[in-house]
Amino acid sequence: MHQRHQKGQRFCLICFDELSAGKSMIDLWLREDVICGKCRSRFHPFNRMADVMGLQVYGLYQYDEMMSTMMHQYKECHDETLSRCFLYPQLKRLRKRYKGCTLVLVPSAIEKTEERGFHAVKTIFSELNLPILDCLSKDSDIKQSTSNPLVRHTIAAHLHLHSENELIGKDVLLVDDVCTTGSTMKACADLILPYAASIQCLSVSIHPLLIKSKRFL
Amino acid sequence: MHCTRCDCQDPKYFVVIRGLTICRRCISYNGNEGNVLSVGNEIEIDLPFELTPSQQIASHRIAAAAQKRDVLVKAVCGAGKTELVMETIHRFLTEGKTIGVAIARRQVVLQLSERFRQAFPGVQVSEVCEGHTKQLSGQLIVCTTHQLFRFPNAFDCLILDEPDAFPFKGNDVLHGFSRIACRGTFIYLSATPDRELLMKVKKNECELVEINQRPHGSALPVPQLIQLPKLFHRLILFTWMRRTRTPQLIFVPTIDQAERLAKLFRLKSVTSHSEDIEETLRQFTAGNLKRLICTTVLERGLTFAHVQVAVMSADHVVFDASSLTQISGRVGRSMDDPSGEVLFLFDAKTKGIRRCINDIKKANASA
Repeated sequence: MHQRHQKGQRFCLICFDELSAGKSMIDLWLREDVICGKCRSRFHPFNRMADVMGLQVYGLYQYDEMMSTMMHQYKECHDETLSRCFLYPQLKRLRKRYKGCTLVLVPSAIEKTEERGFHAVKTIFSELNLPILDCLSKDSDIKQSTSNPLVRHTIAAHLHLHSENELIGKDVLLVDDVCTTGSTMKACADLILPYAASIQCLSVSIHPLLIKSKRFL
Repeated sequence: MHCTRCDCQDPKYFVVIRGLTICRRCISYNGNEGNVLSVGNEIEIDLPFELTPSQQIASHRIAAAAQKRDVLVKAVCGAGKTELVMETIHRFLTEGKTIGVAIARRQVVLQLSERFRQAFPGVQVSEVCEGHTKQLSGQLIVCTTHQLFRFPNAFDCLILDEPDAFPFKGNDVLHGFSRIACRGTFIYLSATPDRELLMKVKKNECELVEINQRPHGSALPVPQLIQLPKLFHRLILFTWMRRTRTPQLIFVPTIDQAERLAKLFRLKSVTSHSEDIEETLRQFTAGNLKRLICTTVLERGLTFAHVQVAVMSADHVVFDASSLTQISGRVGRSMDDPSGEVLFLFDAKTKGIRRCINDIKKANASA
Protein backbone atom coordinates (compact mmCIF):
# COMPACT_ATOMS: atom_id res chain seq x y z
CA MET A 1 0.00 0.00 0.00
CA HIS A 2 2.81 2.32 0.94
CA GLN A 3 4.62 1.47 -2.27
CA ARG A 4 1.56 2.04 -4.37
CA HIS A 5 1.06 5.38 -2.77
CA GLN A 6 4.58 6.44 -3.76
CA LYS A 7 4.24 5.42 -7.37
CA GLY A 8 1.01 7.20 -8.01
CA GLN A 9 2.08 10.26 -6.10
CA ARG A 10 1.30 13.45 -7.97
CA PHE A 11 1.49 16.00 -5.19
CA CYS A 12 4.15 17.50 -2.96
CA LEU A 13 4.92 15.57 0.24
CA ILE A 14 5.20 18.77 2.24
CA CYS A 15 2.64 21.29 0.99
CA PHE A 16 0.36 18.85 -0.91
CA ASP A 17 0.38 21.20 -3.89
CA GLU A 18 0.93 20.11 -7.49
CA LEU A 19 4.39 18.64 -7.97
CA SER A 20 5.15 21.02 -10.81
CA ALA A 21 4.51 24.14 -8.73
CA GLY A 22 7.43 26.57 -8.66
CA LYS A 23 9.75 24.43 -10.76
CA SER A 24 12.10 25.75 -13.40
CA MET A 25 11.78 24.38 -16.93
CA ILE A 26 14.94 22.30 -16.53
CA ASP A 27 13.77 20.83 -13.26
CA LEU A 28 10.38 20.12 -14.74
CA TRP A 29 11.75 18.07 -17.60
CA LEU A 30 14.90 16.57 -16.20
CA ARG A 31 14.72 16.33 -12.44
CA GLU A 32 12.16 14.16 -10.81
CA ASP A 33 11.30 14.98 -7.25
CA VAL A 34 8.82 14.09 -4.52
CA ILE A 35 8.28 17.64 -3.34
CA CYS A 36 7.33 20.72 -5.34
CA GLY A 37 9.78 23.36 -6.52
CA LYS A 38 8.63 25.87 -3.93
CA CYS A 39 9.31 23.52 -1.04
CA ARG A 40 12.61 22.39 -2.56
CA SER A 41 13.78 25.98 -2.81
CA ARG A 42 13.25 26.39 0.92
CA PHE A 43 15.97 23.84 1.57
CA HIS A 44 19.48 25.22 1.34
CA PRO A 45 21.81 22.80 -0.38
CA PHE A 46 25.36 22.57 0.84
CA ASN A 47 26.88 19.63 -1.06
CA ARG A 48 30.43 20.05 0.17
CA MET A 49 32.86 18.61 2.64
CA ALA A 50 32.86 20.15 6.08
CA ASP A 51 35.69 19.81 8.52
CA VAL A 52 34.25 18.41 11.73
CA MET A 53 36.84 18.05 14.46
CA GLY A 54 39.36 16.84 11.92
CA LEU A 55 36.86 14.58 10.19
CA GLN A 56 35.69 15.22 6.66
CA VAL A 57 31.90 15.06 6.56
CA TYR A 58 29.93 15.43 3.37
CA GLY A 59 26.84 17.51 4.01
CA LEU A 60 23.83 17.68 1.71
CA TYR A 61 21.93 20.57 3.28
CA GLN A 62 22.39 23.32 5.80
CA TYR A 63 20.62 22.75 9.07
CA ASP A 64 18.41 25.82 8.93
CA GLU A 65 14.88 26.49 10.04
CA MET A 66 13.24 24.58 7.21
CA MET A 67 15.44 21.57 7.81
CA SER A 68 14.79 21.59 11.53
CA THR A 69 11.02 21.79 10.98
CA MET A 70 11.11 18.90 8.56
CA MET A 71 13.36 16.85 10.84
CA HIS A 72 10.96 17.52 13.70
CA GLN A 73 7.99 16.39 11.66
CA TYR A 74 9.88 13.34 10.47
CA LYS A 75 11.40 12.23 13.76
CA GLU A 76 9.12 13.53 16.49
CA CYS A 77 5.77 13.40 14.70
CA HIS A 78 6.65 10.05 13.12
CA ASP A 79 6.00 11.10 9.54
CA GLU A 80 7.75 8.19 7.89
CA THR A 81 6.70 9.20 4.39
CA LEU A 82 8.80 12.33 4.63
CA SER A 83 12.01 10.29 4.56
CA ARG A 84 12.04 10.35 0.77
CA CYS A 85 12.30 14.10 0.41
CA PHE A 86 15.78 14.33 1.94
CA LEU A 87 17.79 12.32 -0.57
CA TYR A 88 15.50 11.99 -3.57
CA PRO A 89 16.90 14.48 -6.13
CA GLN A 90 20.46 13.38 -5.44
CA LEU A 91 19.87 9.65 -5.18
CA LYS A 92 21.52 8.71 -8.47
CA ARG A 93 24.61 10.77 -7.77
CA LEU A 94 24.96 9.45 -4.24
CA ARG A 95 24.54 5.83 -5.35
CA LYS A 96 27.34 6.30 -7.86
CA ARG A 97 29.58 8.14 -5.44
CA TYR A 98 29.32 5.59 -2.65
CA LYS A 99 29.23 2.42 -4.75
CA GLY A 100 30.65 -0.59 -2.91
CA CYS A 101 30.50 0.99 0.52
CA THR A 102 28.89 -0.53 3.59
CA LEU A 103 26.47 1.69 5.45
CA VAL A 104 27.02 2.14 9.17
CA LEU A 105 24.31 4.09 10.94
CA VAL A 106 24.95 6.55 13.71
CA PRO A 107 22.83 4.96 16.44
CA SER A 108 19.78 6.38 18.12
CA ALA A 109 18.45 5.10 21.42
CA ILE A 110 16.51 1.86 21.10
CA GLU A 111 13.52 3.24 23.01
CA LYS A 112 13.22 6.10 20.54
CA THR A 113 13.25 3.75 17.59
CA GLU A 114 10.65 1.55 19.19
CA GLU A 115 8.43 4.50 19.97
CA ARG A 116 8.66 5.69 16.36
CA GLY A 117 8.21 2.27 14.86
CA PHE A 118 10.99 2.94 12.36
CA HIS A 119 14.69 3.70 12.46
CA ALA A 120 14.97 7.36 11.46
CA VAL A 121 18.42 7.28 9.86
CA LYS A 122 18.03 3.81 8.37
CA THR A 123 14.81 4.72 6.60
CA ILE A 124 16.37 7.77 4.93
CA PHE A 125 19.48 5.99 3.70
CA SER A 126 17.93 2.65 2.79
CA GLU A 127 17.17 4.14 -0.62
CA LEU A 128 20.86 4.11 -1.43
CA ASN A 129 20.52 0.32 -1.76
CA LEU A 130 23.77 -0.30 0.10
CA PRO A 131 24.32 -3.16 2.56
CA ILE A 132 23.56 -1.89 6.06
CA LEU A 133 25.63 -2.89 9.06
CA ASP A 134 23.99 -1.85 12.31
CA CYS A 135 27.00 -2.39 14.54
CA LEU A 136 26.79 0.66 16.78
CA SER A 137 24.48 1.13 19.73
CA LYS A 138 23.69 3.85 22.23
CA ASP A 139 22.69 3.02 25.80
CA SER A 140 20.35 5.68 26.95
CA ASP A 141 18.37 8.44 25.41
CA ILE A 142 20.49 11.44 26.21
CA LYS A 143 18.87 14.58 24.93
CA GLN A 144 21.63 16.17 22.97
CA SER A 145 20.05 19.46 22.12
CA THR A 146 19.38 20.23 25.78
CA SER A 147 22.73 19.21 27.16
CA ASN A 148 25.51 21.76 27.17
CA PRO A 149 28.56 21.50 24.91
CA LEU A 150 30.74 20.10 27.66
CA VAL A 151 28.38 17.21 28.29
CA ARG A 152 28.03 16.59 24.60
CA HIS A 153 31.62 15.56 24.28
CA THR A 154 31.08 12.77 26.76
CA ILE A 155 28.76 11.04 24.30
CA ALA A 156 31.57 8.69 23.37
CA ALA A 157 31.11 6.93 26.71
CA HIS A 158 27.55 5.94 25.76
CA LEU A 159 28.40 4.48 22.35
CA HIS A 160 29.30 0.87 21.88
CA LEU A 161 30.61 -1.14 18.98
CA HIS A 162 29.66 -4.76 18.52
CA SER A 163 30.29 -7.37 15.81
CA GLU A 164 33.59 -5.65 14.96
CA ASN A 165 34.70 -8.60 12.85
CA GLU A 166 32.17 -7.84 10.18
CA LEU A 167 33.71 -4.40 9.73
CA ILE A 168 37.18 -5.64 8.87
CA GLY A 169 38.30 -4.68 5.40
CA LYS A 170 35.07 -2.84 4.57
CA ASP A 171 34.78 0.60 3.02
CA VAL A 172 32.51 2.17 5.57
CA LEU A 173 30.07 4.99 4.89
CA LEU A 174 29.03 6.50 8.19
CA VAL A 175 25.68 8.26 7.91
CA ASP A 176 23.62 10.53 10.15
CA ASP A 177 20.65 12.85 9.74
CA VAL A 178 21.87 15.93 11.61
CA CYS A 179 25.42 16.94 12.40
CA THR A 180 25.39 19.80 14.91
CA THR A 181 28.70 19.76 16.74
CA GLY A 182 29.96 16.61 15.13
CA SER A 183 30.90 14.97 18.41
CA THR A 184 28.66 11.94 17.84
CA MET A 185 29.94 11.50 14.30
CA LYS A 186 33.53 11.83 15.54
CA ALA A 187 33.01 9.36 18.38
CA CYS A 188 31.48 6.81 16.00
CA ALA A 189 34.31 7.24 13.52
CA ASP A 190 36.87 6.73 16.29
CA LEU A 191 35.20 3.47 17.27
CA ILE A 192 35.14 2.15 13.72
CA LEU A 193 38.53 3.40 12.57
CA PRO A 194 40.68 0.53 13.91
CA TYR A 195 38.68 -2.07 11.98
CA ALA A 196 37.49 -0.55 8.70
CA ALA A 197 39.56 -0.21 5.58
CA SER A 198 38.33 3.32 4.97
CA ILE A 199 35.77 5.69 6.34
CA GLN A 200 33.62 8.26 4.60
CA CYS A 201 31.02 10.38 6.38
CA LEU A 202 27.71 11.62 5.07
CA SER A 203 25.17 13.74 6.84
CA VAL A 204 21.84 14.99 5.55
CA SER A 205 22.24 18.34 7.21
CA ILE A 206 25.12 20.21 8.72
CA HIS A 207 24.91 23.03 11.22
CA PRO A 208 25.83 26.46 9.82
CA LEU A 209 28.47 26.96 12.51
CA LEU A 210 30.51 24.09 11.15
CA ILE A 211 30.07 25.38 7.64
CA LYS A 212 31.23 28.89 8.52
CA SER A 213 34.33 27.68 10.26
CA LYS A 214 35.29 25.88 7.09
CA ARG A 215 34.54 28.79 4.84
CA PHE A 216 36.53 31.40 6.73
CA LEU A 217 39.56 29.39 7.66
CA MET B 1 -12.61 7.72 5.52
CA HIS B 2 -12.01 10.78 7.53
CA CYS B 3 -9.41 12.02 10.00
CA THR B 4 -10.50 12.17 13.60
CA ARG B 5 -8.25 15.12 14.39
CA CYS B 6 -8.55 17.59 11.53
CA ASP B 7 -11.70 16.22 9.90
CA CYS B 8 -9.85 15.80 6.63
CA GLN B 9 -11.60 13.69 4.01
CA ASP B 10 -9.31 14.04 1.00
CA PRO B 11 -7.64 10.66 0.38
CA LYS B 12 -4.46 12.34 -0.83
CA TYR B 13 -3.52 13.13 2.76
CA PHE B 14 -3.83 9.56 3.94
CA VAL B 15 -0.91 7.15 4.02
CA VAL B 16 -0.97 3.57 5.18
CA ILE B 17 2.16 2.62 7.12
CA ARG B 18 2.47 -0.78 8.74
CA GLY B 19 -1.28 -1.30 8.67
CA LEU B 20 -2.14 2.03 10.26
CA THR B 21 -3.80 4.78 8.31
CA ILE B 22 -2.28 8.16 9.07
CA CYS B 23 -3.44 11.62 8.14
CA ARG B 24 -0.45 13.66 7.01
CA ARG B 25 -2.22 16.98 6.89
CA CYS B 26 -2.23 17.35 10.67
CA ILE B 27 0.70 15.11 11.52
CA SER B 28 2.81 17.99 12.84
CA TYR B 29 0.17 18.70 15.50
CA ASN B 30 1.12 15.48 17.23
CA GLY B 31 2.80 17.38 20.06
CA ASN B 32 4.99 15.38 22.36
CA GLU B 33 2.67 12.42 22.53
CA GLY B 34 3.94 10.97 19.30
CA ASN B 35 0.95 8.72 18.94
CA VAL B 36 -0.10 7.62 15.53
CA LEU B 37 -3.48 8.79 14.43
CA SER B 38 -5.95 6.25 13.30
CA VAL B 39 -8.48 7.21 10.75
CA GLY B 40 -12.12 6.22 10.66
CA ASN B 41 -12.68 3.05 8.78
CA GLU B 42 -15.19 0.34 8.07
CA ILE B 43 -15.84 -1.46 11.32
CA GLU B 44 -17.10 -4.96 11.61
CA ILE B 45 -20.07 -5.63 13.79
CA ASP B 46 -20.85 -9.07 15.06
CA LEU B 47 -23.98 -9.27 17.13
CA PRO B 48 -24.92 -12.54 18.80
CA PHE B 49 -28.63 -11.65 18.88
CA GLU B 50 -31.37 -10.48 16.59
CA LEU B 51 -33.57 -7.52 17.36
CA THR B 52 -37.33 -7.80 17.36
CA PRO B 53 -39.14 -5.43 14.97
CA SER B 54 -40.05 -3.01 17.75
CA GLN B 55 -36.49 -3.04 19.03
CA GLN B 56 -35.20 -2.43 15.54
CA ILE B 57 -37.34 0.66 15.11
CA ALA B 58 -36.17 1.98 18.46
CA SER B 59 -32.56 1.20 17.58
CA HIS B 60 -32.76 3.18 14.34
CA ARG B 61 -34.42 6.08 16.12
CA ILE B 62 -31.70 6.24 18.74
CA ALA B 63 -28.92 6.06 16.16
CA ALA B 64 -30.45 8.84 14.09
CA ALA B 65 -31.26 11.13 17.01
CA ALA B 66 -27.94 10.71 18.82
CA GLN B 67 -26.16 12.45 15.95
CA LYS B 68 -27.92 15.68 16.72
CA ARG B 69 -29.25 15.79 20.24
CA ASP B 70 -29.46 14.06 23.58
CA VAL B 71 -31.56 10.93 23.77
CA LEU B 72 -33.35 9.38 26.69
CA VAL B 73 -34.01 5.68 26.22
CA LYS B 74 -36.73 4.68 28.59
CA ALA B 75 -36.96 0.93 28.47
CA VAL B 76 -38.30 -1.53 30.95
CA CYS B 77 -35.81 -3.76 32.71
CA GLY B 78 -34.64 -6.56 30.47
CA ALA B 79 -35.74 -4.81 27.29
CA GLY B 80 -32.15 -4.98 26.10
CA LYS B 81 -30.91 -1.43 26.45
CA THR B 82 -27.38 -2.49 25.61
CA GLU B 83 -28.52 -4.18 22.43
CA LEU B 84 -30.44 -1.08 21.45
CA VAL B 85 -27.40 1.19 21.50
CA MET B 86 -25.15 -1.20 19.55
CA GLU B 87 -26.22 0.35 16.27
CA THR B 88 -25.49 3.84 17.56
CA ILE B 89 -22.06 2.79 18.80
CA HIS B 90 -21.32 1.17 15.47
CA ARG B 91 -22.30 4.29 13.60
CA PHE B 92 -20.11 6.54 15.74
CA LEU B 93 -17.16 4.18 15.50
CA THR B 94 -17.49 4.01 11.72
CA GLU B 95 -17.19 7.78 11.61
CA GLY B 96 -14.00 7.46 13.61
CA LYS B 97 -15.47 9.09 16.67
CA THR B 98 -14.82 8.21 20.26
CA ILE B 99 -17.64 6.89 22.32
CA GLY B 100 -17.87 6.39 26.06
CA VAL B 101 -20.11 4.21 28.14
CA ALA B 102 -20.35 5.18 31.81
CA ILE B 103 -21.84 2.74 34.26
CA ALA B 104 -22.23 3.00 38.00
CA ARG B 105 -21.10 -0.48 38.88
CA ARG B 106 -17.72 -2.06 38.38
CA GLN B 107 -19.01 -5.57 37.73
CA VAL B 108 -21.16 -4.33 34.90
CA VAL B 109 -18.20 -2.48 33.36
CA LEU B 110 -16.23 -5.71 33.13
CA GLN B 111 -19.20 -7.72 31.87
CA LEU B 112 -20.14 -5.13 29.27
CA SER B 113 -16.66 -4.43 27.91
CA GLU B 114 -16.31 -8.13 27.22
CA ARG B 115 -19.57 -8.06 25.28
CA PHE B 116 -18.47 -5.02 23.28
CA ARG B 117 -15.19 -6.72 22.49
CA GLN B 118 -17.09 -9.63 20.99
CA ALA B 119 -19.49 -7.40 19.09
CA PHE B 120 -16.80 -5.15 17.57
CA PRO B 121 -13.82 -7.41 16.89
CA GLY B 122 -11.60 -4.80 15.24
CA VAL B 123 -12.13 -2.02 17.76
CA GLN B 124 -9.93 -1.17 20.69
CA VAL B 125 -12.22 -1.41 23.71
CA SER B 126 -10.81 -0.17 27.01
CA GLU B 127 -12.41 -0.81 30.34
CA VAL B 128 -11.56 1.76 32.97
CA CYS B 129 -12.55 1.09 36.56
CA GLU B 130 -10.93 0.37 39.87
CA GLY B 131 -7.98 -1.89 39.14
CA HIS B 132 -8.03 -1.19 35.41
CA THR B 133 -6.75 2.34 34.98
CA LYS B 134 -3.62 1.87 32.91
CA GLN B 135 -5.12 1.63 29.45
CA LEU B 136 -6.84 4.97 28.95
CA SER B 137 -6.96 5.27 25.19
CA GLY B 138 -9.34 3.55 22.86
CA GLN B 139 -12.19 4.21 20.50
CA LEU B 140 -14.73 2.68 22.80
CA ILE B 141 -14.26 3.34 26.48
CA VAL B 142 -16.33 1.57 29.10
CA CYS B 143 -15.83 3.10 32.53
CA THR B 144 -17.42 3.63 35.88
CA THR B 145 -18.96 7.04 36.44
CA HIS B 146 -16.22 7.84 38.92
CA GLN B 147 -13.53 7.46 36.27
CA LEU B 148 -15.06 10.01 33.91
CA PHE B 149 -12.73 12.70 35.22
CA ARG B 150 -9.90 11.02 33.32
CA PHE B 151 -11.45 11.90 29.98
CA PRO B 152 -11.94 15.65 29.66
CA ASN B 153 -13.58 16.54 26.38
CA ALA B 154 -12.99 13.07 25.04
CA PHE B 155 -16.31 11.70 23.86
CA ASP B 156 -18.40 12.49 20.82
CA CYS B 157 -21.13 10.53 22.46
CA LEU B 158 -21.43 9.50 26.06
CA ILE B 159 -23.84 6.77 27.04
CA LEU B 160 -24.86 7.10 30.66
CA ASP B 161 -26.38 3.98 32.08
CA GLU B 162 -29.00 4.66 34.72
CA PRO B 163 -28.31 8.28 35.57
CA ASP B 164 -31.19 8.14 38.03
CA ALA B 165 -29.42 5.75 40.37
CA PHE B 166 -26.78 5.91 43.03
CA PRO B 167 -24.05 7.21 42.76
CA PHE B 168 -24.96 9.48 39.88
CA LYS B 169 -28.25 10.71 41.21
CA GLY B 170 -27.93 14.09 42.86
CA ASN B 171 -24.13 14.00 42.78
CA ASP B 172 -22.98 17.33 41.36
CA VAL B 173 -19.37 16.24 41.04
CA LEU B 174 -20.22 13.28 38.81
CA HIS B 175 -22.65 15.39 36.82
CA GLY B 176 -19.83 17.87 36.27
CA PHE B 177 -17.44 15.11 35.16
CA SER B 178 -19.91 13.86 32.61
CA ARG B 179 -20.52 17.33 31.17
CA ILE B 180 -16.77 17.95 30.85
CA ALA B 181 -16.10 14.52 29.39
CA CYS B 182 -18.67 14.75 26.65
CA ARG B 183 -18.27 17.19 23.78
CA GLY B 184 -21.11 15.68 21.78
CA THR B 185 -24.43 14.18 22.69
CA PHE B 186 -25.61 12.17 25.66
CA ILE B 187 -27.62 8.99 25.59
CA TYR B 188 -29.34 8.24 28.88
CA LEU B 189 -30.41 4.66 29.42
CA SER B 190 -32.91 4.17 32.16
CA ALA B 191 -35.85 2.11 33.21
CA THR B 192 -36.93 4.67 35.75
CA PRO B 193 -35.95 8.18 34.62
CA ASP B 194 -36.12 10.77 37.39
CA ARG B 195 -37.91 14.07 37.25
CA GLU B 196 -34.87 15.97 35.99
CA LEU B 197 -34.60 13.83 32.88
CA LEU B 198 -38.33 13.90 32.21
CA MET B 199 -38.21 17.69 32.49
CA LYS B 200 -35.53 17.74 29.82
CA VAL B 201 -37.81 15.77 27.53
CA LYS B 202 -40.64 18.16 28.29
CA LYS B 203 -38.48 21.15 27.42
CA ASN B 204 -37.64 19.40 24.17
CA GLU B 205 -33.92 19.30 24.93
CA CYS B 206 -33.90 15.59 24.72
CA GLU B 207 -35.52 12.98 22.51
CA LEU B 208 -37.48 10.23 24.21
CA VAL B 209 -37.40 6.67 22.91
CA GLU B 210 -39.69 4.41 24.86
CA ILE B 211 -39.84 0.62 24.92
CA ASN B 212 -42.36 -1.06 27.14
CA GLN B 213 -41.92 -4.59 25.97
CA ARG B 214 -39.30 -7.17 26.62
CA PRO B 215 -37.91 -8.96 23.55
CA HIS B 216 -39.77 -12.17 24.40
CA GLY B 217 -43.00 -10.22 24.43
CA SER B 218 -44.38 -11.38 27.75
CA ALA B 219 -45.28 -8.90 30.45
CA LEU B 220 -43.12 -7.79 33.33
CA PRO B 221 -43.81 -9.78 36.47
CA VAL B 222 -45.91 -7.76 38.89
CA PRO B 223 -44.63 -8.01 42.46
CA GLN B 224 -46.66 -9.86 45.02
CA LEU B 225 -47.21 -7.71 48.09
CA ILE B 226 -47.34 -9.07 51.61
CA GLN B 227 -48.02 -6.57 54.36
CA LEU B 228 -47.39 -8.00 57.82
CA PRO B 229 -45.76 -6.92 61.05
CA LYS B 230 -41.97 -7.28 61.02
CA LEU B 231 -42.22 -10.22 63.35
CA PHE B 232 -43.52 -12.54 60.64
CA HIS B 233 -41.18 -11.49 57.82
CA ARG B 234 -38.61 -14.18 58.37
CA LEU B 235 -41.24 -16.88 58.64
CA ILE B 236 -42.89 -15.81 55.39
CA LEU B 237 -39.52 -15.61 53.72
CA PHE B 238 -38.70 -19.10 54.90
CA THR B 239 -41.90 -20.58 53.48
CA TRP B 240 -41.42 -18.60 50.25
CA MET B 241 -37.92 -20.02 49.93
CA ARG B 242 -39.22 -23.54 50.34
CA ARG B 243 -42.13 -23.07 47.97
CA THR B 244 -40.59 -21.26 44.97
CA ARG B 245 -38.06 -22.66 42.59
CA THR B 246 -34.40 -21.77 42.73
CA PRO B 247 -32.21 -19.81 42.13
CA GLN B 248 -33.43 -17.10 44.44
CA LEU B 249 -32.15 -13.65 45.23
CA ILE B 250 -33.15 -12.11 48.54
CA PHE B 251 -32.71 -8.36 48.76
CA VAL B 252 -32.26 -6.69 52.13
CA PRO B 253 -31.83 -2.98 52.84
CA THR B 254 -28.71 -2.98 55.00
CA ILE B 255 -25.40 -4.83 55.19
CA ASP B 256 -26.06 -5.62 58.83
CA GLN B 257 -29.34 -7.32 58.00
CA ALA B 258 -27.76 -9.19 55.13
CA GLU B 259 -25.13 -10.65 57.42
CA ARG B 260 -27.63 -11.59 60.09
CA LEU B 261 -29.99 -13.22 57.63
CA ALA B 262 -27.13 -15.07 55.97
CA LYS B 263 -26.11 -16.45 59.34
CA LEU B 264 -29.65 -17.50 60.16
CA PHE B 265 -30.33 -19.34 56.90
CA ARG B 266 -26.70 -20.43 56.38
CA LEU B 267 -26.52 -18.68 53.01
CA LYS B 268 -23.90 -16.60 51.27
CA SER B 269 -24.34 -12.85 51.20
CA VAL B 270 -23.17 -10.26 48.72
CA THR B 271 -22.70 -6.73 50.02
CA SER B 272 -20.27 -3.97 49.24
CA HIS B 273 -18.23 -5.25 52.20
CA SER B 274 -17.91 -8.86 51.15
CA GLU B 275 -14.55 -9.73 49.66
CA ASP B 276 -15.14 -12.47 47.13
CA ILE B 277 -18.07 -10.94 45.26
CA GLU B 278 -16.88 -12.07 41.85
CA GLU B 279 -16.33 -15.66 42.97
CA THR B 280 -19.73 -15.83 44.71
CA LEU B 281 -21.51 -14.42 41.68
CA ARG B 282 -19.73 -16.86 39.41
CA GLN B 283 -20.87 -19.74 41.54
CA PHE B 284 -24.40 -18.35 41.66
CA THR B 285 -24.58 -18.06 37.86
CA ALA B 286 -23.13 -21.56 37.50
CA GLY B 287 -25.87 -22.91 39.74
CA ASN B 288 -23.68 -24.07 42.61
CA LEU B 289 -25.38 -21.64 44.96
CA LYS B 290 -29.16 -21.86 45.07
CA ARG B 291 -29.94 -18.85 47.21
CA LEU B 292 -28.13 -15.59 47.68
CA ILE B 293 -28.70 -12.71 50.06
CA CYS B 294 -27.71 -9.32 48.79
CA THR B 295 -28.07 -5.60 49.30
CA THR B 296 -28.77 -3.14 46.48
CA VAL B 297 -25.32 -3.81 44.96
CA LEU B 298 -26.96 -6.37 42.70
CA GLU B 299 -30.01 -4.29 41.94
CA ARG B 300 -28.93 -3.10 38.50
CA GLY B 301 -27.33 -4.24 35.31
CA LEU B 302 -26.74 -7.88 36.06
CA THR B 303 -28.55 -10.76 34.43
CA PHE B 304 -29.14 -14.13 36.08
CA ALA B 305 -31.24 -16.66 34.22
CA HIS B 306 -34.39 -18.10 35.82
CA VAL B 307 -33.98 -16.08 39.02
CA GLN B 308 -36.79 -15.43 41.58
CA VAL B 309 -36.66 -12.41 43.81
CA ALA B 310 -37.80 -11.50 47.31
CA VAL B 311 -37.38 -8.11 48.98
CA MET B 312 -37.23 -7.92 52.77
CA SER B 313 -38.39 -4.65 54.37
CA ALA B 314 -39.44 -3.15 51.06
CA ASP B 315 -40.60 -0.08 52.99
CA HIS B 316 -37.04 0.81 53.99
CA VAL B 317 -35.76 4.19 52.72
CA VAL B 318 -33.11 2.67 50.45
CA PHE B 319 -35.81 1.04 48.36
CA ASP B 320 -37.32 3.89 46.39
CA ALA B 321 -39.56 3.41 43.37
CA SER B 322 -36.75 3.14 40.83
CA SER B 323 -34.81 0.75 42.97
CA LEU B 324 -37.82 -1.52 43.44
CA THR B 325 -38.62 -1.42 39.73
CA GLN B 326 -35.07 -2.44 38.98
CA ILE B 327 -35.19 -5.28 41.46
CA SER B 328 -38.39 -6.65 39.97
CA GLY B 329 -36.70 -6.28 36.61
CA ARG B 330 -34.14 -8.95 37.51
CA VAL B 331 -36.84 -11.57 37.00
CA GLY B 332 -37.68 -13.25 33.71
CA ARG B 333 -34.89 -11.78 31.64
CA SER B 334 -33.99 -14.83 29.60
CA MET B 335 -35.74 -15.58 26.34
CA ASP B 336 -36.70 -19.17 27.16
CA ASP B 337 -38.06 -18.47 30.63
CA PRO B 338 -39.90 -15.15 30.74
CA SER B 339 -41.93 -15.86 33.88
CA GLY B 340 -40.88 -15.46 37.48
CA GLU B 341 -41.94 -14.40 40.93
CA VAL B 342 -41.29 -11.21 42.85
CA LEU B 343 -42.21 -10.83 46.50
CA PHE B 344 -42.23 -7.61 48.53
CA LEU B 345 -42.36 -7.97 52.31
CA PHE B 346 -43.12 -4.84 54.32
CA ASP B 347 -45.12 -3.60 57.26
CA ALA B 348 -46.16 -0.22 55.90
CA LYS B 349 -46.91 0.67 52.30
CA THR B 350 -44.69 3.51 51.09
CA LYS B 351 -44.88 5.86 48.12
CA GLY B 352 -42.05 3.93 46.54
CA ILE B 353 -43.89 0.63 46.57
CA ARG B 354 -47.04 2.21 45.23
CA ARG B 355 -45.22 3.98 42.41
CA CYS B 356 -43.27 0.88 41.49
CA ILE B 357 -46.45 -1.18 41.14
CA ASN B 358 -48.11 1.59 39.14
CA ASP B 359 -45.12 1.93 36.81
CA ILE B 360 -44.97 -1.78 36.10
CA LYS B 361 -48.70 -2.04 35.50
CA LYS B 362 -48.63 1.03 33.23
CA ALA B 363 -45.75 -0.41 31.21
CA ASN B 364 -47.54 -3.74 30.89
CA ALA B 365 -50.72 -2.04 29.77
CA SER B 366 -49.01 0.05 27.08
CA ALA B 367 -46.91 -2.85 25.77
